[in-house]
Amino acid sequence: MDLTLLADPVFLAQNIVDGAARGALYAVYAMGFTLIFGVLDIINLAHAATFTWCAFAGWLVMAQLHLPLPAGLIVSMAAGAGIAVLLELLAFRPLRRTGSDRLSSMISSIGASLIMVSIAEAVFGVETRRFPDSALDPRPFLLGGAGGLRVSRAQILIVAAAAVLALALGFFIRRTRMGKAIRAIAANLRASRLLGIDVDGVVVITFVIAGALAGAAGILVGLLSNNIAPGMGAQIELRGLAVVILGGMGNIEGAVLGGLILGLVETFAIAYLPGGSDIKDAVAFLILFLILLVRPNGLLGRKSAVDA
Amino acid sequence: MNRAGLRRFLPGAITLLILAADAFISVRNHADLDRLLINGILALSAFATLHARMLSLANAGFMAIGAYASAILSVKAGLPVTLSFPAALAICGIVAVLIGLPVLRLTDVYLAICTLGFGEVVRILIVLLPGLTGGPTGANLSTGFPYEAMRRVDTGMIAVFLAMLVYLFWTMAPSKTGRAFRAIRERPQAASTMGIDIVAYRSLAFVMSALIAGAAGAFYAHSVGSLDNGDFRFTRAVDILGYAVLGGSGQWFGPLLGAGLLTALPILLRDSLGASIGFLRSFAQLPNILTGLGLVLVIVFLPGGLAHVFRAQVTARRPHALPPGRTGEGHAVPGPGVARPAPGTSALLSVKGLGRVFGGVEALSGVSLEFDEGGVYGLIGPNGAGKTTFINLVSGLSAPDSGTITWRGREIQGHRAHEIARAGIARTFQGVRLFDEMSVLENVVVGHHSRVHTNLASTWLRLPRETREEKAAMNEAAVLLARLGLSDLAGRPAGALSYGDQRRVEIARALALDPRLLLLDEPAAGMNDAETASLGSFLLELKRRGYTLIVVEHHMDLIMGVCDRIDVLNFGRLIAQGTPAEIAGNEQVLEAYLGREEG
Amino acid sequence: MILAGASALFALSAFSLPAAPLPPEIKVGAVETLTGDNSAYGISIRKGLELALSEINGQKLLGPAQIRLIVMDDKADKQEGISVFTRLIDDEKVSAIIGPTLSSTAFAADPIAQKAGVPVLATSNTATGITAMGDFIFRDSLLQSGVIPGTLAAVAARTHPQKAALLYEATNEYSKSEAEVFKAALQKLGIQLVASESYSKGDSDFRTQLGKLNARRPDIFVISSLIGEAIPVLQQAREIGITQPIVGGNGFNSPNVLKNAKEAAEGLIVGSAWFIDSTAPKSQSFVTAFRKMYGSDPDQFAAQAYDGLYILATAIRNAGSADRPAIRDALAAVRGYKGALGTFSFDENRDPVHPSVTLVVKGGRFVLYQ
Repeated sequence: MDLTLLADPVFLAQNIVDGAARGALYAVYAMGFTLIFGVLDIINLAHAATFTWCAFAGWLVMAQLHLPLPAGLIVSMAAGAGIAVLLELLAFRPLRRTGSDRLSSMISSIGASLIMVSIAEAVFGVETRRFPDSALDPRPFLLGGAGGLRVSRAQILIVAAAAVLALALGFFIRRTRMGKAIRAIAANLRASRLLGIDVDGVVVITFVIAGALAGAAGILVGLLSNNIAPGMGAQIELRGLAVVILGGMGNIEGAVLGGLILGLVETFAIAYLPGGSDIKDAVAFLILFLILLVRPNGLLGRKSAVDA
Repeated sequence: MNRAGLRRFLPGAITLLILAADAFISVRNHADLDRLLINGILALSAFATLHARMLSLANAGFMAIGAYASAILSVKAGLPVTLSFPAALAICGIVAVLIGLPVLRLTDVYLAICTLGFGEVVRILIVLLPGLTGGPTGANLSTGFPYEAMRRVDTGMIAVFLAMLVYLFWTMAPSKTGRAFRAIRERPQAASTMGIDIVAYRSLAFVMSALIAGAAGAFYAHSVGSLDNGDFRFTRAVDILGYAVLGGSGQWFGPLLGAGLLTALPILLRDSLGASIGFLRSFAQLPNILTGLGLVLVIVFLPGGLAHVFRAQVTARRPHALPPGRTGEGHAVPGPGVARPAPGTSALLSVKGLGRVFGGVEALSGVSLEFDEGGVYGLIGPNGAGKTTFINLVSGLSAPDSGTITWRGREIQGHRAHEIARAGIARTFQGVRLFDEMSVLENVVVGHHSRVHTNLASTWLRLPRETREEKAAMNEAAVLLARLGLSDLAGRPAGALSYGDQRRVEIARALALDPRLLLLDEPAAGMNDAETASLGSFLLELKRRGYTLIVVEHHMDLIMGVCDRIDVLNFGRLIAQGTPAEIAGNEQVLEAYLGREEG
Repeated sequence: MILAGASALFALSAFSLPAAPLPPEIKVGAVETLTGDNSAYGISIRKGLELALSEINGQKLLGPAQIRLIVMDDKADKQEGISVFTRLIDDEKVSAIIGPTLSSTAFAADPIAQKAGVPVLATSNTATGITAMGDFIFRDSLLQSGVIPGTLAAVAARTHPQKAALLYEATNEYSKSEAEVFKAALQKLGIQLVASESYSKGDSDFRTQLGKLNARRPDIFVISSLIGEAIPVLQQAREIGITQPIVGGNGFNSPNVLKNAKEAAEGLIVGSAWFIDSTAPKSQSFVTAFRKMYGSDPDQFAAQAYDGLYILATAIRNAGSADRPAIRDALAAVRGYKGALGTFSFDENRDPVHPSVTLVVKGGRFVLYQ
């Protein structure tokens, strides 16, 4: 291990920046995922496929129609909302009607994911796409000259977007009527129905939000990594699972905190551990196992993970 | 073979017939047959956990461990496959125990996620240990695993192994272990109150699943002839899940059927429609799309899977006829067999300062009560007063936040439900929790769980003890049913009964535990006057036999008629206590009930 | 003596009539990955094969005999590969098989063909040990060890680097073995490998690894990636300020990389078995015909597949029969075949021998590195 690296403050700062950006990305993805679980008790493993389709939607808008980034972002989030609602109507609502358990909806989401990714493969082919440079200037800001800290516009955008989305979501859940309805359903779906809440309608809104978040994540990943392909969901799906378990299932703040932690830990593992890049995948899983064994409800936990 | 025996045989036979036809039509070479058999074995590994209500996605990981372990031991270490195979299984078993024990307390989806992670970690390890496994290059000629050395099994061996597994599952299904799994699968909490140690059974299921998946992996390695970590991706776990979902995970032949169809159909499609059709040529993703679609459609419209179609057959094949010689008359309810303790000895059950908080609400607070042996105690109060919570705490489904529960001199608060059941406390549930898919007789036999002294060894080896114990349990169950007037319904699936009948079955099931204390949660709910009166006399009969009863009820006639003492709860606290006469005239009690009605 | 005779026939040009009558239809199987992550290669290979097929049959290279190509998908699954091979060998009774796409499938399926005595010609397997599986197994895909040392030597001669840094994909056998070849070649040239980092399949952010490598101040970067990661790796490398020359492995050798990485690809050096502006005898006509048939540019996989079918057809012609062992012998005797890949021969291990090139990206195109 190169000890000079350890002492290098610029390297450290760089890793913090890179890790925070990575983590913010995970956070945006995980927020949508954990929302659906928190409210409906559904592990939606088709969230990653939604995210993939949104990235392609953004690509279509920006690379093929040559529209600017804000348009791409809006279209992507709208696509996400639409796909998520479709998922709810076709893959989850019928199960709710028959009173199936959580495992059934998880299995249903696996099937839906398979369909979505296969269609993406058939339609777009397996080659990698990227957003055009016109979307966002790829040149980074250099602080402190050539050997100094570099922060790219994409990284800034991601962190800003994550913060804005988290605050907006929090506000929405806590301060609006619809948010209250969502919380009511999360607490007790049956009772909410009896109290006259239009459960189906609120569920749709929940999926709209979660889908839009997936869309945002899709665009942000595309900006950060410029690597859009039908299989792009696999890696982030596993990271997303680790993040929501770390933060506590159903816990929005937990998703943000968990995402940041995972992003930083992964980056620091690559940067400072010898052979770190080989084991960084295992980092996410290690965190997953540890949390499930030691603190199953997550750091900020809420929903119960363990048998009575 | 008489008709009952034929019916027993039928579903499994039909499955095997379908699989054979499958194989014959589409699978025409050894390679495809190997694949069909290995997928069948994998399907059974999924069944092992699913029929204990666990969604474990770890089979891909254990398959990898089994594959690499057997490959390394036979090719690198030079062991003959007769040694490397069991050794590989043993390794899988050890890993299963090591990672399984801590992980098994997790509930369904968390277990699924954890096991998903396990599979990925195994794949990472394979890549990180190239000296041992060949790393990302894989175990093949270039890394010291020559093809001829790897190829150690032929189709016959795999078929024999699968047949052996089928035998094991087939004989396990109607046995005590099989019943326990089926009970856990339907209603884990109710199962635990019948004395079934859920964690132990789940551990057993997990280890079984690991061993079977490991075996499949070893066969895979030795039939395919090379390995790499791409063989054990998450997609493999999804495929295995697909077999279980399509086929249905209620019976062992379900996943097998699913595996057969999902393996053979793509081959059939490929070979008959094949590469010559232009549309299919350019739409290579079609099989994947169909698989995904299949998963969703089956789980939504046919959640029991295809094997669900055989459900009626299966229920019928469980012994439903009363064992010969028992027409179910005249035999007294077996009592606890203990003489009434002399007055002055300490209480049978005593709770002190019992408290339980749920999300900020005090469900119970500072409740102290004593119950003497042989008494019938009523527990009443408005809805939400904490009565069911009380029963849950005493029976062990829940742990109190404060206070103690002492049973026969020992503190039992916080103990697990199955331990408390075995210590002599049985309960029924508010809103019946029978095992709907089992017959009425079988439901009651589940209650005998802790008193049937058989295990998997005696089941699989068909020891005489197995038949003896099973018969004895069946007889006792039949007698219990008779005493409650349910003999006619013995063979019907419990879910098909009327509510009132179901209640009585539940009581019979609780009695099968041979308990000293019976906790009855609203036993008269859904009964008419005649039935309630009949229940009342039955409870008094139980009292005569020496049982202690705590009855939660709203039917005042019943309570007043049978109870020695009535305890009244409201908002989690004890507000009154006394004889029926005293309680009837109690102002506070009246207010508690009436006050509620106003709101 | 038979070999000498066959070689002589081979050395003659392609269009003379076959020596003995062949059956009217000769079945050749093609097993490729047409679905899933690696299908880009399989699809490209199929395009090359089908172009060659149309030409061979159209120009009656085998006289009145026509080749019927049976293309099947192995789904990058070993068991499917074995199943498909068995079908082709036992049911369709093909005379030879081309493929499979991935080396991992080959290790499982090729032994079946070897045992049955069916010649296999791989057009994209580059792992060690493929041809060692038996004397019926051939390949025309140049090994990494045949290309990379030449590339690095050319770079070293021009820029005299002292230190190098390596980035590769740890979870992929192709990438990993290419990395090993890079390491060995660097060592041989006396260039010190100061840092080595890896990433896993599906990763999309390589900045940390690249930054760590750059902190050691290498003179050149050597990178082994598959095409999907090659593009972001290039972009992110330039983004974080890496200006040193980058030598890429074969995954970088694709028109797609140029299209997507754009300026980030300028200066990229790649050693290649084939490139689109190659002046090899049949290369330009191949490129033209490919563009006409598919409306896009061919890549190396297509070129190797195209030549592969031609080599097989020529072997059949020279063998004068659709008999499997005869074809095998004729294949082994191939020397000096002039195709899109250049002047091609099999060596004594049935591995390919043909000149490779070192390319550099200039002005958005691959040109020869000089």
